[in-house]
Amino acid sequence: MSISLKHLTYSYPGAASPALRDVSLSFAAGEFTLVMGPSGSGKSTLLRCLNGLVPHFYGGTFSGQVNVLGRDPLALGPRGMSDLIGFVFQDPESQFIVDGVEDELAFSMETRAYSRPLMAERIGEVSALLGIEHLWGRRVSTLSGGQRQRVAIAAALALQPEVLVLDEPTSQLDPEAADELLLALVKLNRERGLTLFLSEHRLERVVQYVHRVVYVPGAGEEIVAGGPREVLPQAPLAPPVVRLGRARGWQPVPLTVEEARPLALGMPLPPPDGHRHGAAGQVVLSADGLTFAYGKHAALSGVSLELRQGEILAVQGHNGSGKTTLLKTLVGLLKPQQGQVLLEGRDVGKLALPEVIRRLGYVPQSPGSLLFQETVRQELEFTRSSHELPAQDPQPLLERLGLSQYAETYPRDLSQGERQRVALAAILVAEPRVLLMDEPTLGLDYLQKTALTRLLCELRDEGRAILMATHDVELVAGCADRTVVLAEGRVIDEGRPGEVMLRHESYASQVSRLFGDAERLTVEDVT
Amino acid sequence: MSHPLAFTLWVIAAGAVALGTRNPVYLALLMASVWLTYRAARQRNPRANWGSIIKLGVWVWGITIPFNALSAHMGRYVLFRLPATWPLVGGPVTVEGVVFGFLSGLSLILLLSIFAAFNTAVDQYQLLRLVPAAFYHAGMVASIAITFIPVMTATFEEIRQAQMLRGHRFRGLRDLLPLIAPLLASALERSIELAEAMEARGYGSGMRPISARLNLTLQVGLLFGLLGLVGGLFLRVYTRSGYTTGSVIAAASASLLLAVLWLQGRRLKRSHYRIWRWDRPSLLVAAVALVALLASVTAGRWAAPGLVYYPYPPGSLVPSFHPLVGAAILLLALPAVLWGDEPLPEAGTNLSPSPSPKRGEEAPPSRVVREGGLGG
Repeated sequence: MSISLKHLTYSYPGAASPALRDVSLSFAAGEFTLVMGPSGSGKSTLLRCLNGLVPHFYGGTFSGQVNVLGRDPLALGPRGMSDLIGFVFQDPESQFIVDGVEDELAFSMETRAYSRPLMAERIGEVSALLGIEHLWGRRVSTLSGGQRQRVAIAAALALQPEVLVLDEPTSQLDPEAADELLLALVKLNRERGLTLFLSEHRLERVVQYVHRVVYVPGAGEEIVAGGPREVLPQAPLAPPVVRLGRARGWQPVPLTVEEARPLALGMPLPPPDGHRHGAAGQVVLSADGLTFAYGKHAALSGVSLELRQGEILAVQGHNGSGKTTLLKTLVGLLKPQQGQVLLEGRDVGKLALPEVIRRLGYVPQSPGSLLFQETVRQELEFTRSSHELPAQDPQPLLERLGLSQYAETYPRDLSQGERQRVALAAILVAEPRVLLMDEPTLGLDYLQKTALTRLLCELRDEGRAILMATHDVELVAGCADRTVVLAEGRVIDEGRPGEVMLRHESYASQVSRLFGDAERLTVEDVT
Repeated sequence: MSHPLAFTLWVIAAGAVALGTRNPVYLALLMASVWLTYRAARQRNPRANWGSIIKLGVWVWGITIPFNALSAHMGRYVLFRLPATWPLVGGPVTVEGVVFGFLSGLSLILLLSIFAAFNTAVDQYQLLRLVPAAFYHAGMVASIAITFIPVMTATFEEIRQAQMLRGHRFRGLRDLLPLIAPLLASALERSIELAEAMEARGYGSGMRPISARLNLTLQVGLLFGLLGLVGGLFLRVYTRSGYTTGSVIAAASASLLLAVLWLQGRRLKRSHYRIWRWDRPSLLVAAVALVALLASVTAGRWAAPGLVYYPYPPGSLVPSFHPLVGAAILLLALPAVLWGDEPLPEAGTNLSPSPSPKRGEEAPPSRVVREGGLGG
């Protein structure tokens, strides 16, 4: 029994070129397959061919054959495949049909008219597998992102499918929740023999567990499939430790920090170039003893920090540690119950909003919250006119952000990474001296992250002050000058990223973990 | 509370009192009952947030008072007079007008609070079970729509703040676009994701296949039933001679419609995970609701003037009060009392059941315990 795709070509309705072109792949049952590739390359499309969502849900033109353990998703459609393939989607918020955890687990069994004792048995079983028995009786809307994704997986397993497909299930989770989820998946694969297909950007967390890697390069290029050691060394999106191994010519190329450790031992290192000791200017934004509570729930307790001109300050911490509340308090959207925020020496609480935003730009977590115009150019013009600034040719800024060819494009047609840059452009066009960003790398692949990291460094070198709330350790390693770690609304650590990474392993980049050196955080630091 | 129907009865009873009286004493007692219930429900489901909607209600309340005072002009106790030449508002402004406006607003807030308590205590999905099978899909759509509202409210708030920090100012209708366009786009994206998830989970696969002929018969039956019902009612209401004929046609068509719906409902092959039991708390709540409903409807007969309160002459500003009616209204606080003894569902430990329930004809007893703790 196996899963195979033969000469599969698919175009979305109205698309100029096919999303998948002549794809032929085959997989054995029981394998754990990682699907990787730049965002927008067709990973999701490929996964959706397995259960017939493509083409049944999306339409478009389809040719070729798909066979999943003897069944044809083309003929049966997603409903007919639903007891053979479970599907878990990216967004933990929008894939739940009913609000109760147990009702959610029972949902697909109810539509198939399973008997009540059987449903109770299955619910007990899948809950034990995912460790969610303690969530019974809760409402889905009260769960954390990680808990939600576990419930989604359990619900997908209720019909006892043989295959589970997961489309970037961890992209909205913090690193620890993501790790836990991935470990649960590994267990399902190893202990239950469940066939897994997973698309994922955080390769470093899964490559050591997968049997096969499918690399979808997009842009009409051919899909590469094989064992992780065959595919990863060639893929441009490889995690830092693989890139390091490639740069140093290590054979075989290590997939994990543990594998790289013996190879890195005694490796000659270039002298530290000291670029992490950037001379920051005067303080532009400071918080002093900020305390904020939602009702009885304390979100911030006595947080103080300083942001200087020409530096990038990272605010790290788990989901719910108070990062977003801190950002909102800094811009004056929330009034702290104690403490104050000074922007260029003036109390933000006493400044009118136009005064604040003339100096400070805020890039929200989801670029979709900002974009509404017909074209990218209009988005930029809208910000200028809202700030009552004279019109300006947007082309130079777009060029800097690598968006010059999209000036007349509808922003929502762009990829996630491009949208993020358009949102950034829409804020930068007002020329703020202070920039606040909330999770700027959410949903970005390695290449997009690298581009963003470089851009942020440039903006800093021009003398801007940037504060970013993020759980992306590689982003922090790549560009932050200082970092502040929040937990339960308190600052539990702060300092230069290299030092903080040595103290908190869950916030350490791969290179930092490999060398244990406060000066070596990225591949560039050691080659 | 394990049976959603019990709480539905509670809503009907509380709503009947809120709509049926302007008597300040009864309204105050009802307010106490509803507020206690809402507070208890919120403790069990802390994320349900109706605060902003109740705030809106208070705001509307603030408007009804001057509105009524300025438009009523009746009563003995005149506060001041506006020139009679002023249209609508001209004339005496009376204490009675202020009081009546205040009480009307109060009954409005009460209605909002009753629905807030109901929504906090009972999952919409539980109500779906009460919808006849033929309307199952429509009920599903409604349930999803209701769950969508809080999510979209949060999204809207995010968009509003992001645009505000980008310099967006709200000056007129034109400025709605930067808020509405992202909201619509995100709602659409979400709906598509949800539809995909439902499809992948096999939603809709539970219909028994029927022959094309039977299907056509059902459709034709539905059409004739609807036409007959409308036509019959038309005959009955608008023509003198057709009253009897119209009634017969309408009744026959209604039966035809019910039969078609029943047949279509039978096509839906579906099982239910939850069993609603009329356990002691549900029976108690239902009984209390019935008593309150009965008392409020019949109060006029045995405790004149019943629920009626009319501050304007010839009525009196001083409300009447009958202790039995008051007690019946206070009984509506029972859910709060019952929940007070129960552990919160969030407590987890005392509710986590055995991981693998045993097979059996009936669901294992642990189910009942958990349903009891669910708050519906």
